[in-house]
Amino acid sequence: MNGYCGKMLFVDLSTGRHEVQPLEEDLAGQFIGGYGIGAKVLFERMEPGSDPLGPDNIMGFTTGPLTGTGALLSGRYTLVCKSPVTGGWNDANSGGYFGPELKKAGFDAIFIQGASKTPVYLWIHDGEVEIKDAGAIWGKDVIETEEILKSALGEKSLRAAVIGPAGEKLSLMAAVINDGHRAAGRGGCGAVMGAKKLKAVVVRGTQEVPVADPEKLKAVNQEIVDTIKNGPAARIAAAFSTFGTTMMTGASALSGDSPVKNWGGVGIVDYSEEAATRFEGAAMDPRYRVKKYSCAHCPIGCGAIYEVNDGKWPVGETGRPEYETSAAFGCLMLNEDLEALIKCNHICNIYGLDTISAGATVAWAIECYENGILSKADTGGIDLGWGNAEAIVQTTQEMADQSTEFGKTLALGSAGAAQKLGKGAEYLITVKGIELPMHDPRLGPGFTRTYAMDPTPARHVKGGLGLQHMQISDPSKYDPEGKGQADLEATAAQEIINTAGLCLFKNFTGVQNIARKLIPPVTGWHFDAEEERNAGLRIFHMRHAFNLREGMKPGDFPLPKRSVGEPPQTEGPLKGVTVDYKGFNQNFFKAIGWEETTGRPSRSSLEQLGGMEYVIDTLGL
Amino acid sequence: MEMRITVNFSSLFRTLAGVDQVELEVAGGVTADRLLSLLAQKYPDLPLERDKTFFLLNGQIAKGDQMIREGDQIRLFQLSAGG
Repeated sequence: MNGYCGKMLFVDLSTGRHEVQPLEEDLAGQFIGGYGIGAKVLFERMEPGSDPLGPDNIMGFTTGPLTGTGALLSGRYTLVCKSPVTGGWNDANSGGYFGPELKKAGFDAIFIQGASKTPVYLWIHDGEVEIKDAGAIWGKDVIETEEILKSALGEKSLRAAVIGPAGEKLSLMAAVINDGHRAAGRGGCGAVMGAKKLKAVVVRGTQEVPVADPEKLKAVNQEIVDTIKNGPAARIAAAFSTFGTTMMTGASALSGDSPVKNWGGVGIVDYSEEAATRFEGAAMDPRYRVKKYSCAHCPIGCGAIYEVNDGKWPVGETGRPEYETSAAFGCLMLNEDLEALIKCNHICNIYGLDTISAGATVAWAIECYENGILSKADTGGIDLGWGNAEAIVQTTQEMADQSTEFGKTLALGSAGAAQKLGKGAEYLITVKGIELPMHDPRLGPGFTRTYAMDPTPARHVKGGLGLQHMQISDPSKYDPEGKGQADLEATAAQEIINTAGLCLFKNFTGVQNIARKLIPPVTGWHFDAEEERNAGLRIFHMRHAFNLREGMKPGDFPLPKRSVGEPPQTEGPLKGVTVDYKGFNQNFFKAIGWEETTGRPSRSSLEQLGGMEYVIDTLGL
Repeated sequence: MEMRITVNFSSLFRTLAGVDQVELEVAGGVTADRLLSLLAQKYPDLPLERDKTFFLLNGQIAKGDQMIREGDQIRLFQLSAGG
């Protein structure tokens, strides 16, 4: 089967056994890869009500058909599991080199159930599978872990998906880190891995992934490169290649795109223009950049490695903070100290924390402290305040290493901390416990539907109209009427980008319909707009079905009032804006055919898609 | 009557234009849309597409037919989602 290894690995850490099962072409054709296949496998193999931190939670490391084939922009992989935060479906996506290496090691996906009694890691090399003792790496940060693994296994070219101490200690914001600074961050997947006492999944392979039409793939790759270099978006692509996602940090902070002061502030009022600009790649790179970083098979290469050897918080080599981090640890908490941003990003990387949730949790704690909800007794003496860089760094460190009671509490995430403390809920900016990312729906109203109604709530990288809306100033974007179909189409298309292994930043290339261009020469399939839409909807419904079976319904995912402008801001670019989020939901539900109160899809719509018989039967549609 | 307008570029526009700000002498009664056209002529390589360009006028997102007055604070930028 072209584009695939044709094999899925199933590991049981309780028994120590593993088995290899074929990935059938039907499954691949209908659910593509990544969290599409992941959702189908987990829906069929897991029972509702499973404890997310228990042995029955299945954790999947999944790839797409383009990954590892040399198709450009296809280096991503996706983690899937049940989230310990939401109790529902979770997936988290990461770049770097782990995904392609997993395919070269011989597997399209690895699914892990059970839990080991003692710390272990999985070593997968050219089809061979070993569960090995992780005693020497348990407790180590992600960088140290990779170094020890390379030495112990005598393999410099291995790639590893690793939890740091945050995951080991079951922080609900724990991420799984690969290549030192690439994160499958959201939804608490690092805690799931920690609960299984699984320190790392380590892969190395030399196998080739078959491609149906290598010459055609080469031609499409060339077209992509030519469009990036010479197409209508060439100058933007070049700027993005240099500065990455921090290309627009300043504009975002001042425009209403980035939330400011825990979503209660205004960029042009509460945050200095100088700081907003200082947190951009154009300002940071001359001081700290030592080299470029590219993910596998990426002609853009939007990353960078920094080196900080002096100042208040020297960290040596570290990844450049991405936009989300720069906003979460920047304007969201009114931090203007660049060194503090880099330090906090580094802490999150090496301890293995999701920077969005970590930054948002610190911002929540600051607002609680400023309003007397938290006291110095709660913070262990830390004088938390807006923009207090030293306090922010200390809080982040304690949250990462859980060395204090305050740190242990914050490691639960803002919602978990509020629940534990029995206070502070009024300042939460979460959906089902997941902290909102750094794109404000008051500027991009389509984000309201995505943040609330995607099966993984509070994600800016899931499909919908938000990304389009945040880029345009036309006020008609606030009117949800008639937008349901466009929302649906955008959602389905994004499912394919995510599950094929492609990077969201294909948006910067100027290349249209990239999945439809790359999937056919790799797989040999016919894959047009209709196939793309149907597969995308199948995948979306499969993730949604997981949540429905857990008893979730749309009303369980309310948006925080600040994020929709209730009440509206009284100054700044978002002055007077209240988003009709109910209208966006209603229009989407109408287009996709979901019942408004229960979120249940119609039987006929799933029958039309095909491949959903088990969902129809299980949900009793 | 002519007036002097200062336009600040943010982020991507600053990077592509190579300058933080530009001063223009424009006729009185110029609108945001007209100012954008003048800037597009001055900086033909900037992606100053009307539908994707945010025009912040004294801290508010301006409509195309809004009049610019002397002393107005103007900021232009484009946005894109970051990771």
